[in-house]
Amino acid sequence: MPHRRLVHLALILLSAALVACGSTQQPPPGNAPAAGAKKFRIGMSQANNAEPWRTAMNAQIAAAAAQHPELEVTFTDAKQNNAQQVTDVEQFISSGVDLLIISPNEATPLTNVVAKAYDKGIPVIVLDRKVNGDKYTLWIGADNKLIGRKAGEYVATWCKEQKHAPCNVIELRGLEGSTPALERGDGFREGIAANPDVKIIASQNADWVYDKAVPLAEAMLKANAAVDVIYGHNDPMGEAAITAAKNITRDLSKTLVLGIDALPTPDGGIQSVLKNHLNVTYVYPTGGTQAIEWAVKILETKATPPKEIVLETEEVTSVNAAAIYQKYGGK
Amino acid sequence: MSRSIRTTWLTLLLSLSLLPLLIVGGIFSWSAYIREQEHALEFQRTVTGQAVVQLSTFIDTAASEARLIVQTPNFVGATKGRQEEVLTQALFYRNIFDDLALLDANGKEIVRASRLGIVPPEQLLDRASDDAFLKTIEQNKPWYGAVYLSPVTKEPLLPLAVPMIDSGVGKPIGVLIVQVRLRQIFDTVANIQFGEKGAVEIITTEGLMVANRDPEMVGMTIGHLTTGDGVHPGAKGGSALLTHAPLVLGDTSILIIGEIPVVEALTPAYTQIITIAALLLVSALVATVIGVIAVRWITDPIQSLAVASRLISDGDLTQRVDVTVRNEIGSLQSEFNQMAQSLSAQRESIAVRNTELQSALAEVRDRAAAQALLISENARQREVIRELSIPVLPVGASTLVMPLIGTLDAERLLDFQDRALHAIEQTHASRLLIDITGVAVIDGEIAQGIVNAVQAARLLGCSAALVGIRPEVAQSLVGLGVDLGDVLTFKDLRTALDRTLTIHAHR
Repeated sequence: MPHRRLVHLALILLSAALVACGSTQQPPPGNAPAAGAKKFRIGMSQANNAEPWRTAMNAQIAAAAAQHPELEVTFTDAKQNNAQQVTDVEQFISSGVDLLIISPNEATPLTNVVAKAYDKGIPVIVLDRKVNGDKYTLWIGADNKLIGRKAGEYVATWCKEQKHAPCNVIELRGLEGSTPALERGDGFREGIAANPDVKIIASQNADWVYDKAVPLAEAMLKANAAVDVIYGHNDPMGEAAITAAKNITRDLSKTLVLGIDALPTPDGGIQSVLKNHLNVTYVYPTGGTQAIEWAVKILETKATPPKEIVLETEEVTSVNAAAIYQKYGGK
Repeated sequence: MSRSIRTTWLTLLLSLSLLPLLIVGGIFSWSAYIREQEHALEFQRTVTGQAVVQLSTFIDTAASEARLIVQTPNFVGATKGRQEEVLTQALFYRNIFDDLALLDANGKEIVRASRLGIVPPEQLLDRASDDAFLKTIEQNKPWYGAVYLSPVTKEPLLPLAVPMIDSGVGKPIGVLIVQVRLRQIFDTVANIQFGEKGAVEIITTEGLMVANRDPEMVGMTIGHLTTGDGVHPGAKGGSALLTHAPLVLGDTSILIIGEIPVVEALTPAYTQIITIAALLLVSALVATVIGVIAVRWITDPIQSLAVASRLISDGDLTQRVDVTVRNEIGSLQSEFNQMAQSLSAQRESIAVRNTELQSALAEVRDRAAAQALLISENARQREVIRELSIPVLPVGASTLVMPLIGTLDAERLLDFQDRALHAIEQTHASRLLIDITGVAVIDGEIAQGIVNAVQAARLLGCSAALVGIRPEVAQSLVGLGVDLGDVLTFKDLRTALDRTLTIHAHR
């Protein structure tokens, strides 16, 4: 018996020695940066890649990040699902990103997870839609209410000019409960208040999505014989109304169609204005470029950003569309 | 030893220690499971309770909004245009209604505006037979319909009707039927999260899923969720911990359900059970090890005693056991050894005695053999002596002399007769001289024997004579009255020989 124990002991020692030898030959652990490569990892949680405006935001972020080889940006798509976006952010937190950029699907459901990341010391840049409270590093967005009001004022003036009384407006709203939908709706109502002849006669939530907006717009146009203005909370929904009118052979030549976003993309709002689809649209900057600029400042120079950065908007009509398209680097 | 003392004791000891352990562990696990489930249910009920509060607050707000519309000053008697304006304001500025229809006392729509558009007068309906109208007019209080999904927008809507009361009459003069948009509040409720995957969902009494975090689930009819609180199949299947809280709206109600995968809800219970199981396992291992050691401690000496005893009973007296403990078993062991020692000592002494006896026996046998030898020698010697004591001396050709010396007994007498007759036969002697000079004493019997011998010799043709009768013998013969008859007698041997020879010569 003692012999056999000795043999065992010898085997154990031998295997331990082999393991020890093997481990010394292994490459260094993966979390050490590969020489000169990505120094900072940024997680970008997008609410819904199906919206062109958000695709543009991602593209702007990617393009801006490409200027900084030390950044590595990972994108996720929550597909307009709050729970999915919470999961995405949780995964970013647990994978230990250096900075989080989030464009929330909705404010309330994502407030907690954003606060969680912020409390863990991860700088959080919130784009477009806000979250509740103040547990984030920086919010970059445009003033939706202002844009909505500008659109409303434009409508009020246009109705007066066209002598439409009453001037019937149908509204295609964004996702119910989302801040931009609320603000673009409320701002618009403030804007049209100047002209009491302007009346909203129909309003539906198409959730920013072209495909949802088409049947709704058809139904609204069918239900309302006299429509003077179609206000889409974004360009795709405005385009959807035009498609819907085409579907039911409704003439919109005398109807004012407004959108918001004015993306400098081939199928974006500016091009739509140039093609005489939309009459007016408003630039709603994505903030993607600014987000990366600030991310670099926060990560590399430890700069303290302002709590909010409000981006400027511009009115796009057939008059200035080509120029604006150039200005925003449209391709 | 198919069922040895060790097995028995081990079984006994282990079942005594492990069984209570298992029972206690089982009870602990069960109670942990029950307790945690109760905890989880309690918490979940709080969550669903909050959802119910939010929801009922929202619906109350909607109801009071609806009441506010009909209570707008001068609304009742206002123009259609004014009423339409009030309704569109409510529709498009508050965004909580999808459809507003103002009915007169006969159930006819006066004005109707929906988010889809303002209904043209020719499309207004007669809704006199609608429950919404009838019940509201009849009960003169708000009426709630069943939640449904809008065919156009797929949004959940709640039909709600409020009576329009003429302040002067105090009786309902119309009804405002509104469709309350529940989407936003349902989304808020459906996004209430507890734990990792805990969620709140809402179904109607018909089992129609009207609120769920997963948009795909909305619109499905799920009947099996309307069971009591506890572990049941969840909305998407799989075991889930469910709590139910109904929100009663007039004659109808909706069910707010808290659902969490049972795996997550009972994680603390599982952790506890695993901890208990691990402790149990460790205790069982310790108990087993201690049990085995204890049983071995007790049974090893007994078993070795048993083995040694068997070997001893088989005859191997060299067996000894080690004295391993200092207790009764230890003394048993040492006494066993002593017993074995004394047994082997006894056997040794018996063996010695045996050897001694064997050699003694051999000696006795040797002696007996020597004795027998002596005895046979003796007999031979006696034979020789006997032969020598009765000599037959041939004197001349036909005369034999037999001198008798010493004491004659019956045996010698027979021997003498034998020898005499044999000698006569062999030598064909015609004369026999029996010399009794050496015989000191002759009794009657012997005297008769001698006479008989003389007569027998005569029968063989041999004349016998007695020689050397001593005076005392003669005396006793006479005394005895022995009749020697015609037996020749001579004074001594010489005389006898002379006479005989003479006789023979004369012939």
